[in-house]
Order: sequence, then C-alpha cells, then structure tokens
Amino acid sequence: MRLLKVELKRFWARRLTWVAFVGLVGVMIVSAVGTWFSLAPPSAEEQRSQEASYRQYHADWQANSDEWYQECLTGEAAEREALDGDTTVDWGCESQLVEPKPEDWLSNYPPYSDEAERGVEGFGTLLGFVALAIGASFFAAEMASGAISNWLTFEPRRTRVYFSKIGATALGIVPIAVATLALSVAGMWAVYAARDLLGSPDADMWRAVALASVRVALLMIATAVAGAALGALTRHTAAVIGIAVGWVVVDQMVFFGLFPRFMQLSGMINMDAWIKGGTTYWKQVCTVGSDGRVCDTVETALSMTHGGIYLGVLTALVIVVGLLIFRRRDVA
Amino acid sequence: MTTAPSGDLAISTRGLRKTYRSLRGRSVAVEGLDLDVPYGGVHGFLGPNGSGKTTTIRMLLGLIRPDSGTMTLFGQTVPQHLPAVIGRVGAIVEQPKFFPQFSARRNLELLAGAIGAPPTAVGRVLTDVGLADRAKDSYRSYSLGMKQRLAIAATLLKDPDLLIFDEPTNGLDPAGIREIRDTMRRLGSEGKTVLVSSHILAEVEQVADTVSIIGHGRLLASGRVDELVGGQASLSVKVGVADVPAAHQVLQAAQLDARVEGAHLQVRGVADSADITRLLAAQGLYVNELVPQHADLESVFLELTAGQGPGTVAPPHGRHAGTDHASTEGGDL
Repeated sequence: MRLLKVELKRFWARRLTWVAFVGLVGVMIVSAVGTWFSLAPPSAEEQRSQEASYRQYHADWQANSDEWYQECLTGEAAEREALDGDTTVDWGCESQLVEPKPEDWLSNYPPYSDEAERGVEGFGTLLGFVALAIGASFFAAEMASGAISNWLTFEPRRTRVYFSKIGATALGIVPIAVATLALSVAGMWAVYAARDLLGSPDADMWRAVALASVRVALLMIATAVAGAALGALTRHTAAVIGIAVGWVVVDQMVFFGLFPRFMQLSGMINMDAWIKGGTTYWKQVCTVGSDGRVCDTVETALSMTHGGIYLGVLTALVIVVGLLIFRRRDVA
Repeated sequence: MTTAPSGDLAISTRGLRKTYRSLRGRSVAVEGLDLDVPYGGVHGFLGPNGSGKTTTIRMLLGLIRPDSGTMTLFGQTVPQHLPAVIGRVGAIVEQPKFFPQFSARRNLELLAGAIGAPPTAVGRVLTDVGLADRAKDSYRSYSLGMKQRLAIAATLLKDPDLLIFDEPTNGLDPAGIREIRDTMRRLGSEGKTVLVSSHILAEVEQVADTVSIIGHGRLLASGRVDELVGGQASLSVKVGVADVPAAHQVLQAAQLDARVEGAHLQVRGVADSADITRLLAAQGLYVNELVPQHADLESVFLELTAGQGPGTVAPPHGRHAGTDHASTEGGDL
C-alpha cells in the first residue's frame, strides 16, 4: 500500500498527466462548441431553398408516383426472376407511394435523447489512446531516465514495484476518465438544451449514457495499464505509441484484407463492440453452388461481452509479459 | 548504528561471474571474482575502465543477475535476501539518477515514502548535504556537483550501515572532490562501511583503509593500503652520476636491478641506498644525485594491472578469511 500511495503521488505530480488531462478537457470544450454550431437553425435563405426543393419534389411526386411505383415493381420482379424466384429480394417499392413531408427537407436535428449515448461512445477510441499514452509515459519515463535503478536500490522486490506502478496507473486514470466523460455528457446536454433540442430524456436514456460512460472508463483503465506494461517492456513512450499505431495498421491489413473470415478476432472491431455495447460488421461468406463460387457479404453481430473478454485477455497478457520481463531484466 | 565484531565482512563474493551477450558476441565483465570488504571503514574498489567494478556493484544491489557465484551482504545471501538488508545499504551507481522534472525535495520525498522514512528525514538530509536552499529547484537544473550531493542525501535517508559510491567524484571540481572525500572519511570514522569504486587512485589513497584491486573481472590484490604499497612495489632509487654507462656496468655486476633512464639510473630492489654509493665509490664513480622513490598506490595499481593477458597471475587468497556461501539461485526480488 505504501508503494502504491507513493506511485499515485508521482502519477499526479507528473506534468504529462496534467497536460493530457487539460488536453482532453480542451477537446471536450471544442467538441461542444462544434456541436453548438452544427445545431444552428437554418438561415432564412437556407429555409427558403429547402421549402422550394420540397415543393418541387412534392409536385413531381403527385404527378409521377404511380409510375415510379410500377417501375420499381417491374425492376424487383426482374431481379427475382434472375435469382430463380428469390422472394427475399425487396426493393421497398411501397415507399414510392408515401407522400413526402416538409420535415424531410428542412434541417432536422435528432434530439439529445437520441444522440446522448452515441456522443459518449464517439470519444471512446480517443480517450483510450490518450490513456495508453499516459500509462506508457508513467513507466517508460522512469526506465528511460534510469531513475528505476535508484528506485530498486530502495525497494528491490520487483514484483511489488511493478504492480505498484500498474495499480497506480489504473487508479490514477479513474479521475481523468470520470472528469472527461462527465464534461462530455454535460457539455453536450448544455448545447442541446440551449438549442432547445433536448427531446425527451428519460431514465432509460440516462441509464444507457451511464453504461456507455462506464464502458469507456473501463477501456481507459485497460489501455492505461497496458500502456504502462508496454512502457516497462519497451522503455520508451514513443515506442509504445508506435506499437499502438502499428497494431491498428496490422489489424486492418490482416482482418480486413488478408483474413476477413477471422474478423471477430480484430482488435478494432472488438474495441468497437465494447464501446458501443455490441456492434455489427460485414463478413464475406462464400458458397459453392451450381453457378460456381458465390460470395456474399453478410452482416454479423459481435457482442459487447465478446469485445470485453477479448480486451480483458489482451490486457492481462500484456501485463503478465511485462512482469516477466521486468523481473528478469538487467537494469543499467 | 549497528556494529559487528571485528573480522566480520560487510560484503563477500565468491566465484562471481557475469557475461554480457550481444549480437557481436560475448563479453566477460566479471570472471570468478572473490571480493571481501571488511566491516567498518573505507574500502577502495579499484580497477581500470571495463574491469567489472560497476557490474559487480550492480550485482550486489540486485540490479543485474550474475551468471554464477555467490554474494553476501552482512552475512545474508543476496539477491535472495536482499530485501532484508537493503535498508542498511545506500548506493550511488555511476551517474545519479532521479526524476528530472521533479524538485530535489520531491525526488527525496518519493524515495522516503517508499521506505517509510519520516517526512522530517528529507529536510535533514538536504541540510546535511547543503542543498536545503535549492530543494525546490528541479533536478534538471542542478549542476553535476549538486546532483552528486543529492544522490548522497538519498543514500542517507536510510541511515545505512553500508554505503556504496561508484565513481563519486566524476565531473566534480576540486572543492566538490574534497567535500566527497571528507564525507567518506567522516562516514568511515562513524563506523559505517564505505565501498568507493574509483579509478582516481590519489583520491582513494587518501581516504581508504583497505582496497581491492581488480582487473578483467578478477581480484588481483586486496588488503590494507599500507601493506599493499609496502609489499607489492619495491623501493627504487634514482641515481645521478657523471659516467652513467660505467655506473650501470658496476651495479649490474653487483647483481642489482639497474636501468638507464635518460641521464640517470633507476635501481630497484635495493634495501639500503648507501650500498649504491659504496659500490660506485669503490670504482671511482661518485654520485651527484640519490633520490629514493617510494611506492604509492598508483604504482602498485599500474604494476598489477599492466599487461593483463596470458601469464598474469592473481595474488593468492589469504588476506581475509573466506566464508561459506549457499549457491546463487534465480529468485524473485
């Protein structure tokens, strides 16, 4: 506990911790300002243009909707015939008969109650990356400066030293996660409220926002401790960031390019699944039939649980490897 | 302060070995080192660059794993029992290393917190080394001398019984060197054991009570400074005479080890310099200069570490009693 307290003290005394924190606060503020401007109501000229577009399309619809409907049905039938009567082919022709409404043309912003959860999820990757950098620097800086050798002459039990740093990283990142996520939610809420676009926030919405925030916070803790472990391994913050960027590139190449069949093992997709509470991806499925090899893309779901287990196992693996190396490595 | 009966060893190694492996091949840093550092006083740990001094110190402190051999600190086998004795050991290994952006005070507070030292200890040690006025300045802004002093302050946080200083005067000005020397002498006189590793022999000779000299990772000589200087190097005499070649022949005929060095003769291994004047005077050659050259630690060191190659033999053990050691095993610290 004593070591953990000292390491926490060091974590919060580091300039980079505060620079990263202030940077994230800045990002949240800029994001709120950007949202403010994107929610601006249309100008009088824009409104006139939208209304004119609507009137023109409505006139076209009144004159030609039946014809559009028949053309759609003809095309749908032709495709069904081409696919041996496949009745799953559906062009949605009935939509041609639905009268267009003015709100379909006018600037129409979804209310806060629809966007709140997505707003939190949208920051997940950025916050995770910044947490990785904070964790990496916390351990790597001590290795690079050589201060670790001085430290070990005071506390030579390397397992304790290692886990005190990992533990301090995990605990230290929590206030940063809480503050930035709270600022993100509050900022977005304030902007939507000022634009009178709150919609109908209810308990379900707040619960969804809270769960998304918890998932992002847990992701930040995982990436921070993984960053610290990688910092112990590589001894340089830049190397850890390079590994992270390289992992993204290789992940894209391997799973989106070379082996799409194993997409469920992609780190990026699993992270997405975790952040969003589940995700879908397009998977190519090929079958061999009378017409030869036919490939189709199928939408496949990946659960939040799968993503969570994947990220948890990966983090644990990095921590264990970091420990094994740190325990045995000669310290100059 | 903990005391121990005389004859006890603060540090002892047997057959210590460390090899560095890289893509370019193997490099043996320490090869079968048997080192004994007696309890109390200042012990010089001497050797040329690359002889294995720093590697040995790092192994004792658990920073590097030895390939084989045994080590003890205060009778406790290390690295297995290092946590039990580390509280009695303070060390500065090569350049002092702290967190550059933190102040001196914060650096020491972190270390003090790690060992549970009282907060007042930080102010005390900073005052002891004369850094109280600069305690709030970042370590990065310190001069090399100040960094060394801060490192000494850190070692004193534990009030250790053993202090290990590796090249403590590197880069210091004469005032700084004197300060370090006085500090080591004071600590030694207080009954603490100070192991100072250095290649500045004149400095070590002034403070050390005992020394160990190593070369190529092996012990070459060990013992009290006065014994080493008296035992290893022989007395030589510088002789000035008008007819150097004739005098050279006379002395060689008398089985003396005489060499011509410029306009003088250097005669070694002579018990009484009066023998030289007697021999030469008997042949009508008269001495105009006779200067006894007393051995010092530098001459001992150079004699021992010169020509480190085939044929060099380490001196026999026996200056210190050996101790029994358990084998070194890999273990978690």
